[in-house]
Amino acid sequence: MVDIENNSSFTKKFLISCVAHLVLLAMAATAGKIIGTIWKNNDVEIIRSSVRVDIVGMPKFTIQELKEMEKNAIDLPKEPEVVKSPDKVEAKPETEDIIKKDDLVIEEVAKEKEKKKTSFLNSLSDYAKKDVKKDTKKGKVDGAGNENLKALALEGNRLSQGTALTGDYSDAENTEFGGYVQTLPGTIRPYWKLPSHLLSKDLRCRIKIYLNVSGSLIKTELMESSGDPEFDERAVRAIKQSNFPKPSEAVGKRLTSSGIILGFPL
Amino acid sequence: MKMISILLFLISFSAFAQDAVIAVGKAEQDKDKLVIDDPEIKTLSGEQKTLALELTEILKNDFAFYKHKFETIDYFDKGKSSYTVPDLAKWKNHGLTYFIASEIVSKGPSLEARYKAYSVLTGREIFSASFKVSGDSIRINAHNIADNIYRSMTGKPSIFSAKIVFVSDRTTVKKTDIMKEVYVMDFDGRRVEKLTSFNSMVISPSVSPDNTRIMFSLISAHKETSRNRVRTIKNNDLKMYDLRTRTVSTVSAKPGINSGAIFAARGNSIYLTLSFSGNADIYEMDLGTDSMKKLTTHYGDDVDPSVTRDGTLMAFLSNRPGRAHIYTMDPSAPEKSVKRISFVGQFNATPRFSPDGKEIVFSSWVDSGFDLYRIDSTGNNLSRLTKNFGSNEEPVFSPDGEFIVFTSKRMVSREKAAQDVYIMNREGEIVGQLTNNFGRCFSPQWTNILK
Repeated sequence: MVDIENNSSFTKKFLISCVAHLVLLAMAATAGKIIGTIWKNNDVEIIRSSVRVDIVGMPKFTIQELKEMEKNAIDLPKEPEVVKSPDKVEAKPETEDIIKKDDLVIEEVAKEKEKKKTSFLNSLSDYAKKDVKKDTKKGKVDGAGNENLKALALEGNRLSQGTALTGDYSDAENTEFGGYVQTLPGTIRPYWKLPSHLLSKDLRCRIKIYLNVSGSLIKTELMESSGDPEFDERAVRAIKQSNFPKPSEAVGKRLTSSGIILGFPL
Repeated sequence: MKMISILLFLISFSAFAQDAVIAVGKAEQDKDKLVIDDPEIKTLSGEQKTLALELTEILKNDFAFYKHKFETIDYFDKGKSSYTVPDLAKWKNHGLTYFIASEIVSKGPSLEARYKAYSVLTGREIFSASFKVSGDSIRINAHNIADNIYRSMTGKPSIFSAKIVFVSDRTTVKKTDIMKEVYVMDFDGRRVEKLTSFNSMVISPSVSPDNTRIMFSLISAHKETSRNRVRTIKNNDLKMYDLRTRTVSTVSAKPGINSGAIFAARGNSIYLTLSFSGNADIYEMDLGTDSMKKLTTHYGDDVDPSVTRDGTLMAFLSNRPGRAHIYTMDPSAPEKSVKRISFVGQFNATPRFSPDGKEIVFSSWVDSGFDLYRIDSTGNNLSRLTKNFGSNEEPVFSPDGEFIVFTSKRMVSREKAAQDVYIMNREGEIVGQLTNNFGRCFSPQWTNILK
């Protein structure tokens, strides 16, 4: 009996000590974590402050000079990009496009070497080939040389030419229609201009456009006015000045019957 | 993450929905194509005709300042009656944005100029008014007409009725005794008027927020008697010039007051730099009670304050980091709110806020002279405005934020340098030279109280 009693009290005490140990362990782990986090945070802050010390000189170029450089450099490569965009949509996911743009700034040779080395990047070899092709094409268009390099360097500093739409439309990319309408912003934007007093007003209008099978404009319909007639008129004028690419027959029919709404700017 | 996937789902759903909207994106800035047509002139004498033509020329010249906004086009259809018979359809075909038509008739000794402005794109008449124009005040009349038309187009006031206060040493006779007086001119550099005649040296003028007063430092001679001897002591007095009454009063003649005082946003107190305690610090002085409050307490020198229109942010120069750099702080929470804005540049000077307080323009020493730069009040987006254009200093934003006036110095000969007031737009595009052969010019400031 005594043995049994002793045994049961031992089990009890053993269990209690187990629980106590577990609690202690948990507490130690939590405390460790907290201390770790604080420690880590401190580290982060130190790194931050060390980043701030990175001093660069005063800008060498004036705003006017940069504008002039941008004008000279960007004008030429714009065209092939617009033409290419339907291909891009059908063939590859958009994320690859982002990689392409960054890579363009880096030396192409270095990029190719890197891709052979790593297995992950090897899987992207298809895209890599496509990039190189695209680059050489650009070279031809620009006549290569410094102009081209300057253009590419400047492109690196610009926001992606592809609009928010490309991201939003990830599912629709598979459809021909989605692919076609994605080219519309790029076609219209060169003509979409506002004077400063309207630019600063943060206005929005939406216009439905109907295109025929050859891609020419049938009519425009103001779906949502900005409240400023000049703003609306300028949006309509941008549409009228644009030369839309020829859609496929199915897409053309859909655009003739139900049209598509364009948001200026959204 | 969940939120993002829900959002993505909604977006892709909307893409398939019937009313999918394709975002075209933000528009680029475009210049407006503007025609200021010759006026229709009827029954005017030869002298009046000349006046009418002069009026049109001034108007055209005014709008030319905003060349970053307007592309002024010479009208192709001269001689047609655009005022009595406006041809909006034709103007639209020619891609015009605005059309200004006018008719000038004789009204006794003066003229009556009737103006109409059209927004060609919308086919609307956006402005119609008649103005009395006389030979004596033709420039004032023209600037007023131009300002009214500009407002109808942009919804904002222009600089056409604004004036520029500046200091010039043109009355100096002896090189050893330099005289600097306060002058005022139209925004286009015309109609220069001398405001002060101290025969002494005026430094750092500052215009009050309500445009009624100019405060400046003046080197004055004070007579002091000690041990039965009368001595003349030169001191930097703080003076106030009232633009309405054209009188001068003394704010403070205490010894040791430095220059660089500016008005606080409400105009009833001023910020100034004092260095009697050994190092320069910024103080706030109440104009009613003369009481002083020390704003900066750092052992480094803090000088040259500038304050936003709403008074919530002050920019100043400090040598805390070893070199002169730009700092900002909230004048109501001094020192605690001090933030460094500039991290580069050998020597940064004269930080001045844009009217909305979002940007600071300043000069910085590069190689062998000063050039002008612009930076966000948060310290971001540093951009260069001038280059290879002499040594440029003392920049000030125009009241509408579209322009910056500044002084530019260049060597005329080995020993002689010219320093004049120039105007450029906020993007650094030079618009023109405002003073010419008018001594050395300093410290331009804007005001609009005088006609």
